[in-house]
Amino acid sequence: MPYTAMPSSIPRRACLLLAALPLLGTAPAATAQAFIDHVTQSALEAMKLQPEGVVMDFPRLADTGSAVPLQAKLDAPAGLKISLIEVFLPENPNTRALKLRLPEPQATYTFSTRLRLAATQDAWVVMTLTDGSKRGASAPTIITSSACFDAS
Amino acid sequence: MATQIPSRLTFVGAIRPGNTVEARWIVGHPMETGFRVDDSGVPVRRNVITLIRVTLGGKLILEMEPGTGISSNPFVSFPVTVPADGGTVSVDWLDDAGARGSVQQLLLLEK
Repeated sequence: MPYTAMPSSIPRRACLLLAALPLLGTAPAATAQAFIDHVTQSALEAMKLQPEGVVMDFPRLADTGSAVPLQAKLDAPAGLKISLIEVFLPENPNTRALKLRLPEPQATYTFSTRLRLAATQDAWVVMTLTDGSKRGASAPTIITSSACFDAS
Repeated sequence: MATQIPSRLTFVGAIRPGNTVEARWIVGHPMETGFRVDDSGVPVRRNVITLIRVTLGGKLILEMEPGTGISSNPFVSFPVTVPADGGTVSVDWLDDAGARGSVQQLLLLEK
């Protein structure tokens, strides 16, 4: 019996993609986790976060990066609440400085802390709302002496 | 004997039912980043507080995950809404070395 090729209505690449779908289902979550653990300034800028509702009180100039005070006042848009707040320092070795999870989402939230900065950079505050959307703002600071991340 | 790490919790504002007061928590923790070396060139092991849980009357109201970007002797302030009958705010923490700490403060209602 002569060999006949399979009908070309289902391309080979489509078959491979369908076979790989279960694997692809887990890939975005892993990628998202890696992103959150080490997020860069350009990645944060690329997210084009809306700054409305995020007010940061952060010094423009700090003598040392060891303990730079940050205060943030957050307001959720009407009908939504804040469920998660994250503080990112993109120039630090570990970029996520703080994560606050609110078991009971709040319409407004104010918090303050003291950050350790490795270099002059923008600090970012990103809030996640109850609908899953994110809003965030950044504030730059210049430091003249970095925090003790190394022996220098 | 393990060294006791001091921590303190205070409230700012009128402690009246329904009011929101500012809770201020500070702990005397070194928050070692793991990136430093000591005077003899030996790397200092990372030891930061990794989890902070705040409860009011036994109910979780805030959970925080600090990283190396939080300064030594961490300070955090956050809002607490005063219940009708007051209550106790508790802050519990855990660090990389497995050390734990806790501080409680009573929301004593003003008359």
